[in-house]
Amino acid sequence: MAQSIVTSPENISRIKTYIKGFDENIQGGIPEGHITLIHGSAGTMKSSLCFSILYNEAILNKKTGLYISLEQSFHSIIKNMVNMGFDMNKINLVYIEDLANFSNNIQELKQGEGNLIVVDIGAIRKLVKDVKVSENRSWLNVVKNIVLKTKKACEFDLLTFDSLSALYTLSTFENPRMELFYLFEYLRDLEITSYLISEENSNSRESIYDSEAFLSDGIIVLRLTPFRRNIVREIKVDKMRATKCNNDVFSFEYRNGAFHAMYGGQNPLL
Amino acid sequence: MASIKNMFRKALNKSAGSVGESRKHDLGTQIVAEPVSGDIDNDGSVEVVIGTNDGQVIAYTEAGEKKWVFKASADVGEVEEMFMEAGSVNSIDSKPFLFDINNDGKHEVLVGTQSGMVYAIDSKGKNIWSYKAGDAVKGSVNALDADNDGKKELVFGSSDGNIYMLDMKGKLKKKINAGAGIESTPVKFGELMIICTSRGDILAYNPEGDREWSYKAGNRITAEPNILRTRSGEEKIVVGSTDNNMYCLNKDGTLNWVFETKGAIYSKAEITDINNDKEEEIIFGSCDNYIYALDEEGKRLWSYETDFWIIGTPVVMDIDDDGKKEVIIGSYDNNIYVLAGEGMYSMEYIPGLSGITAQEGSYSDISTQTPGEVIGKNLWLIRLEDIVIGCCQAGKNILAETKNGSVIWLQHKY
Repeated sequence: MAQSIVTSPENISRIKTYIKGFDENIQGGIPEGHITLIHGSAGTMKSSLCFSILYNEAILNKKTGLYISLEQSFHSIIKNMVNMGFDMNKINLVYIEDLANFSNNIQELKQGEGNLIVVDIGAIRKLVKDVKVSENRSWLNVVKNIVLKTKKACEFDLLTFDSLSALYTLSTFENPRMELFYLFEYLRDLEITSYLISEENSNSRESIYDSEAFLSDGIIVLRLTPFRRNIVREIKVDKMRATKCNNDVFSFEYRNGAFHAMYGGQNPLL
Repeated sequence: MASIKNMFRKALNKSAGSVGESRKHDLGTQIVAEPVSGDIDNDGSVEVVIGTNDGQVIAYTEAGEKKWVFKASADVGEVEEMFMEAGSVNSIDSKPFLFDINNDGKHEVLVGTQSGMVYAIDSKGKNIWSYKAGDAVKGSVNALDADNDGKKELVFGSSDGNIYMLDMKGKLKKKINAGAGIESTPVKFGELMIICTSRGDILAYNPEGDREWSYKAGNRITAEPNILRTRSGEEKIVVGSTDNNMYCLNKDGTLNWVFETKGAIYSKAEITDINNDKEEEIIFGSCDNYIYALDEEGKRLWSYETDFWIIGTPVVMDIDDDGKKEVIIGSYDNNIYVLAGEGMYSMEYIPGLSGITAQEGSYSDISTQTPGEVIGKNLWLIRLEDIVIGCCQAGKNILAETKNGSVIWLQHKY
């Protein structure tokens, strides 16, 4: 797919993270078409952050986002987001839990309006557990087909994949770097801005395959840091191609219906 | 002026002329299978046949005129389709196979698809028959007398773990369970049929269909095995694995040698005499970015580093008519490399200059040690717009395919 050549920094379109105090430090957002790893341990709000980006883009910019969850169920995700104050009545929310009805479900998308499609792979796995799946037919193919079919059905722009780590457990990657290269190239060819959630191993800061870090365009790290008798969340940019970043560590919290990043490693009000 | 320059270059034993694009087609669909060439309609000139990701089989003349297009189409359920490679239900993943299945003097084209269909297409692009295997057919079909009855069968493996043997009319003669999915192509080795699996097994079956021996590689094998004929007249099996190794096995399945690279090997090694020494060499590419030329003992003759993975099989031909063979191979770095088959001698030691200091303990400036080595020599580099999937010889030309569907004819000119 031929892409036009960027001639000035202002020509780089960006997608906001909708984190107050953070977008200002990454030239306004993540460049469109980037594949960004959202890396962190459990409880760092990776999923919530990604959902928030898709939700806000659907409302404010009429974009269509696809959220593919491999483990957390649709109902669990929505319950969590509603509890945080997200109003699901404001967006056209499409829920897919059955591959056999995928083509029908995708018809519920509203063209020209913002949509948020949530594909619950966990529910799909339960439904197809009796279907004979031979060794070459991986869940990676299912993910790629969902992306492709959605792209054909509508001009969707944003993808969250939750999570890469879960994909590694579902599919055997014989040659991780090569297979990830193809997956990343696949997403790049489709010109989708992708947020790939990468879970931090409790024993190590590194994910299972560090190839993903080299292949991605950006890495945003979320972490939990003990502070006195509390734990504070922090956010930082480890890598962001085509972006002048402030690589400082920001405190990260959700309050008053929005994510906030506080500059200079300030701690939230305790 | 150019011809005088070329004359001098020839006199100095240097490569002359240039290799450039002579024709190009953009198919608008991706390509993952290597192309094949042969005189399919017996008209005395070569055709080139390619298979595409959307199930097209396209035949071109040697010069690049489109002759015909066949479109594979299989009826697959939505759930089953979801588990297949995205958007590639009818994808042709391996090199089409050319064989005269009906003794009419013309070659039919046999291709397998992701959906498990095998199609026999005549020399005019019409479907003669089709056969549905239990799962994807990712390796090529081959014609070999697997059961030793004097008649060849059409043999292929499937991801369902079976080896299928069809008669020339597309009827199943026999099915052998190999115990693991197959992405490689079966070959005949003496009386045995050799096939490799996605679990890294190299299996040998006798004409009765019983397993004669097996050898376990460290990982999946997608490459077609090839047969090496040594100077002593012995035959060996040579096959690369995604465990990074090139294996050479004896007739009884024991290991003769193994050559380790630093990347996965996905494609068949070419075995031919590339340097006119009357011995066969083994030439292959690896995902460590190198192309290797080995001798029959698995020793490196030369290697050449490209900038990215090499997935395709090399083509060996004399493209510039200088009586020497060139090795032509495409890389994921978007380049086609035309290398000198004999490599190039690189001296580490220059008598009278560096020799005395380089030869510790030696009183002579003439080295008794190896004063240098043969290294890969690039003659021409052709930059394409995209990842190079494969090449084949098309008469005097080279045909190259790229991932995003460009089919390019390359020609040597003085």
